[in-house]
Amino acid sequence: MSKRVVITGLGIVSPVGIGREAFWSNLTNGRTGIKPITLFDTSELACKTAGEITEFDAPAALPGMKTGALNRTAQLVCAAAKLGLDDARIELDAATKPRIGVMIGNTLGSMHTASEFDRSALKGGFVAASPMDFANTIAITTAGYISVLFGVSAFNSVISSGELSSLNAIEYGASFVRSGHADMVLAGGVEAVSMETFLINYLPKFLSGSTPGQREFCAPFGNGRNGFVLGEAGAVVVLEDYDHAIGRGATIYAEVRSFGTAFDKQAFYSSSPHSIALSKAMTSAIKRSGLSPDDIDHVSACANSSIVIDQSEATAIRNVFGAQTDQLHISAIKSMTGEPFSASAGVQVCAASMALHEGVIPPTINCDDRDPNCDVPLFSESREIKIKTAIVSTISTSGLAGALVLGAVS
Amino acid sequence: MPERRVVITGIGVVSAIGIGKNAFWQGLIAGKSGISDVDAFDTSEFPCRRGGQVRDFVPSQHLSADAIDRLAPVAQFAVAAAKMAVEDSRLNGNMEPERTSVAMGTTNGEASVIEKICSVWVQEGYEQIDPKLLKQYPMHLIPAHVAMEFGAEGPVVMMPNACSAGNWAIGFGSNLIRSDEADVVLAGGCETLARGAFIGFNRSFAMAPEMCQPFDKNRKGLMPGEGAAVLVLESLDQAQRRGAHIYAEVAGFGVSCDTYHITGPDPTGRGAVDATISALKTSGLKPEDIDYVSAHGTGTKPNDRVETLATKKVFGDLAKRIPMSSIKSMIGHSFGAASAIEAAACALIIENGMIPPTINYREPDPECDLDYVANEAREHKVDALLSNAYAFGGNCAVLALRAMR
Amino acid sequence: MQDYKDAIRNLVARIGEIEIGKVGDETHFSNDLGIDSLRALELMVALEDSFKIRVPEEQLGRFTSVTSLAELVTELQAQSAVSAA
Repeated sequence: MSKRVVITGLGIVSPVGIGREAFWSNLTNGRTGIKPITLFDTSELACKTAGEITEFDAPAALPGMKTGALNRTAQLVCAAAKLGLDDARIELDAATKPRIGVMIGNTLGSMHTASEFDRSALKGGFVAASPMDFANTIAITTAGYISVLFGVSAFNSVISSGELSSLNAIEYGASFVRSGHADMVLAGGVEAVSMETFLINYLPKFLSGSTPGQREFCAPFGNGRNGFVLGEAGAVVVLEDYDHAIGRGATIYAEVRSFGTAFDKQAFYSSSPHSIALSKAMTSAIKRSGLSPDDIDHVSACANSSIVIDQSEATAIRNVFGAQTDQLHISAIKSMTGEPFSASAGVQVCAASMALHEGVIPPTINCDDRDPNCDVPLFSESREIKIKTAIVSTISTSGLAGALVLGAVS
Repeated sequence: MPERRVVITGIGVVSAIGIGKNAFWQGLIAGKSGISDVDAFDTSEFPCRRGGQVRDFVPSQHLSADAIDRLAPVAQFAVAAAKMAVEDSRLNGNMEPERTSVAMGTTNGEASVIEKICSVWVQEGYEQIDPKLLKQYPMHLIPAHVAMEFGAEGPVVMMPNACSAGNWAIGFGSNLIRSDEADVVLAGGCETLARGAFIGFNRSFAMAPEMCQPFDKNRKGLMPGEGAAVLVLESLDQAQRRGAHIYAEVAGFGVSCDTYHITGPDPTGRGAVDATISALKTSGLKPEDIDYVSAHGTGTKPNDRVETLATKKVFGDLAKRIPMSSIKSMIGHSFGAASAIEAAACALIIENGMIPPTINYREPDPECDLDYVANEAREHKVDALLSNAYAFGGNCAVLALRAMR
Repeated sequence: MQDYKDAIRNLVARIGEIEIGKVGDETHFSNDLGIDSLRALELMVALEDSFKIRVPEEQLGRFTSVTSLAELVTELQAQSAVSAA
């Protein structure tokens, strides 16, 4: 018999706030986290802004722990893991630690350190390279540091699928709860802003404002949008067996109902909108919950102000929900956070879980001037409404798409 | 409903001792060394510069001209290995797209791409970076290329768990089949030699200068390698229905982790012990059922000592009677490809009833006193085995394979 | 030797993320300060850079205290002076 998996803790380190309460307050009040970049010099660059977590301070986020060895990616995710553990009110002891696993979605996290490591060796010879940094040049240490710092030992792993990473992490993480290998899994994703993650999007002109003369702005589904704005985040939720959660009196934010994914190879090389993969993923996820599209109340959209992704998503939503689309409460929270790539679905899951728990749906900002081709309803101020189900949607520029259905738990 | 069972019906390998399943197997049994002076990039500044470089890979034998142009080196290895595996499975394209998935393992993906990016950045400035390189870098694109080759539309993931990534990819794929999400999963690992590995391991004195000598008293460290392996994982039902050749069953997958240190293993072997016990538990196998262990066996002082200790903790007196050899003695440590290549070897070991040796074994270490199948392959019927993989971050993953006869 | 000790003490405090007041001349790196093998390697790289020396692998066992390292640095500098002469 398949166990029910619920979310009992939300650990979120984001440009709109660190910690569940700050995150939720700023999100529902429509406050943008997009601001001038401080992590590197942008004076020679056409794009100047990102969803950077400027207030992040690793020693403050991880008191009493040695954080100097960790790169920013590891710091963000460890801070998020701690917030998740604290939010779930988990007592870490000899009994609980072996029953807690770690599954983190990340794709580009090691790029900055690998690049610095290699460049320092190119300039100064291999003797100039830092042994402590060597560990940070590889992706697995992101999850590894969570295990080392918190002593949780059921398993640790990273999983990479670009924008879907957090979703795959949550789904695969949940499978370890269902199989009984773990009572709880710290699952989610992380991505940090760096010169490298910036360049990988800036040089091909994917970022808003990267073409000279263009305005730099973030308006999902917006008219005249010209690209997305980079973001960063660490988003770690605590997945827990339902009976185990009830047994210890845990707060349950939402239930992880079902997951759907699809890969459309035509979309891989195409620069045109592609809605097939997301349509299939959402349809499959909804069906696996034993639900129909009419049962879905809220869509946490992945739209990020990119020309192709937003159009693809709008079309997919219409495909799946038809006329029901106009009844959906849709939020594009990347309007406030920017695009945190591997962390994005994790951030969306945090927001959607809060929406289900609080009965408040966060807005989309900068949505006054709409692209008529993106025919989906949006709202610019939070809505108070009790909802029962939400779907988190993700599209990757690589042709992958994923969707996760979350349900309210009374 | 009983959980579905997972079997291996196809094998594809790119290795330093042979390209393709047959050449690879012949090399294993012959105790062939694939170690040479690495010339994939300039190694002149490194004290230790030997490794398991793949030398016989001819891209045009496996890939179209278009693919060779578009795909960076790790993706080329991955797609080539996948093609060989699928051909070996004789699925003949009978893969239902939505029920076919791809799961690969690596360390960081395209190491040579980031290195080229860095070279240009340092010498000419970042504005000169070729956009094609940036498009090739994100590692999740590698399994996507494999998916495109075969029209797979199910989950497509990369697991960058480095030294245990192959086992994790196979574990992920097995889970999809068991939970009825997929009927076929192309699962494996892929890696190319990286300057970063040479810099890091040389700098931390963890690399051997001449040869890889797992469990030997005078072992000096690991030797970086490269390659790829892909297994066709299939549901037992489907495999039997189509009369597929079955190498072995993926009986179980055990995971745990040390929490001791970000790079070094827990000296008590706790994570390795727990992962082994988990592998036995998930497969329903008992210690006395195990006929062979494919060691992680990197040839570093800590790993081999801890792995031996962990084996004794799990198996007790039985440990001395279970042969345990390290394929890394022949091909080096191919990191993200390693445990996938070793899983391929394990499937062939069950099929052929022969165990490959640990080569370069000259002097026993009192701390490593098990049967490491020194220097020569041995005939040995293997009905059940374990394959160990331990990575940075204390990550431990053990695969259990069982014969289906 | 005292200059070396102070310079080394600074490196140990920085790399070990330890309050400098806790790093005495004889304070044991591993037992008292929690400096593991990886940080010891990092310290080695920093020493090589600061003092223009090369630390052979066999000398890693002397990464035990500030005094021990000051002695090591002095020896290695003398050696390279001899070979340069």
